[in-house]
Amino acid sequence: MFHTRLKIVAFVIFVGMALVLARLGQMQLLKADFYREEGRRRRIRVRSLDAPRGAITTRDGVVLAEDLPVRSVCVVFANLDRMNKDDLDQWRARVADIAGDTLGGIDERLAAARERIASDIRKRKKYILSHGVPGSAALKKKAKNEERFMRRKLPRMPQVLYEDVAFDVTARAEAASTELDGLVVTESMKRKYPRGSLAAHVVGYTAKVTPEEYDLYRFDYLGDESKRFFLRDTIGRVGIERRYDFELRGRRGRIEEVINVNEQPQKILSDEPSKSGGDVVLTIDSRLQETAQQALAEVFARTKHPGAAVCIDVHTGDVLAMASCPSYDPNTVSRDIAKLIDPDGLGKYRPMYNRAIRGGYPLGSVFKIVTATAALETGAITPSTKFTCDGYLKVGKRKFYCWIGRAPYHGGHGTIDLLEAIKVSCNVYFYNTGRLTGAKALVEWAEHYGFGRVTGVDLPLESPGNVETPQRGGDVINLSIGQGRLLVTPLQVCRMVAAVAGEGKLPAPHVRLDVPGRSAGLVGFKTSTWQTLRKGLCDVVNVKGGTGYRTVKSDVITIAGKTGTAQAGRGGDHAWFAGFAPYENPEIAFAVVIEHGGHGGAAAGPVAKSLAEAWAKR
Amino acid sequence: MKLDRAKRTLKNFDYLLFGAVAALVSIGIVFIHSASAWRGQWGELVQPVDYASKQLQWAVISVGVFFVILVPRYSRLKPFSIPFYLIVLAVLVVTLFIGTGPERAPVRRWIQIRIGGRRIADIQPSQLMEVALVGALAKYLMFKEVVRIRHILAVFAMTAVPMLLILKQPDLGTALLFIPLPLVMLFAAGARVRHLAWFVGLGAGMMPFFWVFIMKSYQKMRFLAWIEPYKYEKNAGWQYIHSRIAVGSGGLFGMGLGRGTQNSLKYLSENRTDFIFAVINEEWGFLGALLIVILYLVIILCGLGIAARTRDPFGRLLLVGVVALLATQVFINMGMNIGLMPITGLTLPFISYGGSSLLASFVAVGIMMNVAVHPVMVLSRDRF
Repeated sequence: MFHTRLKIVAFVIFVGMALVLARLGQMQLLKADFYREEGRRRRIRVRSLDAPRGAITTRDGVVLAEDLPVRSVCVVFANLDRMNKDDLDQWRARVADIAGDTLGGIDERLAAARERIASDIRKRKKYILSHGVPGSAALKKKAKNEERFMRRKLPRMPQVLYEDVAFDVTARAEAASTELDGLVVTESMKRKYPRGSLAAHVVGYTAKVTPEEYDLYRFDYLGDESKRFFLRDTIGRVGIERRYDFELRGRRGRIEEVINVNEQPQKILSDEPSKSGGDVVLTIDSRLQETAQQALAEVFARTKHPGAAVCIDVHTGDVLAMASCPSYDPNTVSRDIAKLIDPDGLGKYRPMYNRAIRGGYPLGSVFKIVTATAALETGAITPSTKFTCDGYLKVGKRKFYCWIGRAPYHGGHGTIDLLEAIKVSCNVYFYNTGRLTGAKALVEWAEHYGFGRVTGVDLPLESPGNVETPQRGGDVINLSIGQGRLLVTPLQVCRMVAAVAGEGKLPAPHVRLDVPGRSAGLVGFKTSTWQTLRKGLCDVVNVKGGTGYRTVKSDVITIAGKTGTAQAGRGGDHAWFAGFAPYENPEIAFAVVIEHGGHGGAAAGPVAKSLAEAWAKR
Repeated sequence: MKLDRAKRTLKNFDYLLFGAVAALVSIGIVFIHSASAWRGQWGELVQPVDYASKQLQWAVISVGVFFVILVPRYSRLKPFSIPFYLIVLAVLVVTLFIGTGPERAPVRRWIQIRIGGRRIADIQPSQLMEVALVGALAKYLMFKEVVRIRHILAVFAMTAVPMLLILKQPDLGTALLFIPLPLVMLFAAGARVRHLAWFVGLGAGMMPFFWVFIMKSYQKMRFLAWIEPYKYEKNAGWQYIHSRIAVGSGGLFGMGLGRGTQNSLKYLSENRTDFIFAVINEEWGFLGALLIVILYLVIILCGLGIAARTRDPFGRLLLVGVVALLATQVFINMGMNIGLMPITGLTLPFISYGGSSLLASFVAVGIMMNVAVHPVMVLSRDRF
């Protein structure tokens, strides 16, 4: 019996071994490819390499934005967390010594870095939770898994303690990093704006993408995977940085490598270096831009009146200067953001707001150019038509005043023709003209000049302004001097005077230089109208008694233009000046607005004058 | 007389058995060498410790112990088997209080032997118990002509007590070895299959109790990860996935010695000890694994052959027990390497790195050989 049972035991063992062999056969002979692929997938890591963003320069070669390599002292929290208290104290002391910081400063930086990790996780979690069936178990689980993953991963990656530090600090840190666990020096690219606030509103700035932006823009890069951005990337937030984000953004590099279990690279399988993004050259002229910003800043420093100035090339539509005051420094915008939007501080003046294309202002007397055009074109008046100004026009029971009819003048312009009316900016003359021309023609010609629609400048967030057909008689009278339901942007006004300067050719303003200067069409007025308008605008500045004579007339260059003082309710009138130069052979057109600046010639005129003179001296 | 004995020893020495063992140990040393080198940060080969030469030293010691074991006649030791069992049982109890384990693990498995404050060796009493239990069971069962239920109960009690102590350490792998042992020995001793089936059924019925009261949470986790390794990929499922990848990637011929990526890039943890079979599979493929299986079958068949030739019931049962232990350990280790079994932390006899494991395996094969070289004349009424 024993031998039989022994045989059975042997048989059972055979069966066991046969089972092992069968399983081995299945794995190694039938499914070997599957397991090889599984292994390959796990030991090959694909890393993406960030690419530097392209530079933004002015037409005269001044760099406004560029990516520069910066070296930062970083911490790896995973190493720190393994230390006991004594080691940690010693670590803090050593790092404080290296960075020239105090112990308290180190602790603050460490806390800030930890907070950044926590906020990254929160942001990511929030994003996941907002994309799917709200409150579902699967979504919660996904968010939880992602959180766990990030909690594991982020403390193992270097977190910035001191960004962009001097060479001697990084040298000391690097020397110490061999013995100081968790201290790492990293090199990365940082967006820098060497000229600070110069053309800040045009250039814009970059910022870490928000979940909202991520959703908004993530399909912009479809088909060009190497430019895609992730939730932790930076993207152009506003201005040129936003508008030409696609061109500026570099192509990510890609490294495919074999790693061991500690994620140390062993062998590089493929290496595709990153490619820097394309540069964008702007039409901005740095000297003109600087002049505009300085002139506006002086006004702001003196009077606390914000303002904007635009200057374009009459023929091509190149934006030579575009300034909005107050401004900000894009280098520190993310740090200063709280201050910049604080409604009790600087935020009251909205420094982030590009007034030149976003601001909607009543135009005031500058609109008389449109009224005159409409009247001449419809034949309502001729240049020699005369009206008498007694300081006001009485329509029914209502009195519409001319500026000269009010305090402190209490007078009238007398009987004058069109050129004189433009020169002295007589309201009564244009009240009459507007009534004769009619609301429909006024609005039509305002639209011919491009009001009420965007100019199509290559900057985001441009406002179209507003032109509405007046319904009542009084509204027509108001519209004829640029009041009432009319809102315009400085860029639109600038384009209007450019059309007057350029014989009716409406340019298409643009900020990028190699965008071909397409014309936006013709305003469509007769040559005789053009000549009358030109002459009228010239007289405003260059003939004694003109509203711009005292403040705008220049010895260097012949300026033509029109002042405007737009009623703006509380806070006082907006001051306008729009014109072109040189008169004989127009090259540039410009428009300046000073919010609540008072009289157009006095407040906005000097800014326009300095722009024209800067152009002449260029 | 002495010469005569040596002559008889040589005559009865099972060269095939010893050859298979030597082959396994040699292959083991080669793969321990392969598994202890790995590719570091820049892809260079790093060999922090030369475990292969350490294993070679242990092999020399173990072979020495093996020949020492051949000297005493095993039948003379028969009277000591029950006291030896009791002493080891006591040591197991003591281990629960003063034992140590791998660094930072809350286990009590080893007893440190210190001389003058220096740590000389770690003894694993559970491995001593394997031998002691086989001896005790063989002694208990050797003259039972009819194995009754109370005998079966006694055998299970003798097994269950040390098993529970070992589970308490905890050491699930070694404890598992103790499940087939009494069954095989009872079967060989002539117990009725019907009775054994009853007990097997009873044991299976107790599994939920076992799961709830005995198993630690990390052991349960390992079991769950065995069923769904990808769900626990980063923690409990890691070894399942990476050992399967290693085995499967081997294919028919393997990736070549030292070229296994799972092994050299350290994805396979415990690759010198518990998972060396996966390394062999990755680098030598199916054919290498086949060779290993054949060598084990040679040892097992030699063992059973000696049992068949022996007329002494104590010797026979001793052999059946030792073979059962060996076969179980091989099956469990291979099973966990290839995904047939949950991971329990058992070494592969003769191959895995580790002096204690190697020594225990040589003691087992020494017992086999001792029975072979010391035939005992027994007058028996009939053939068993």
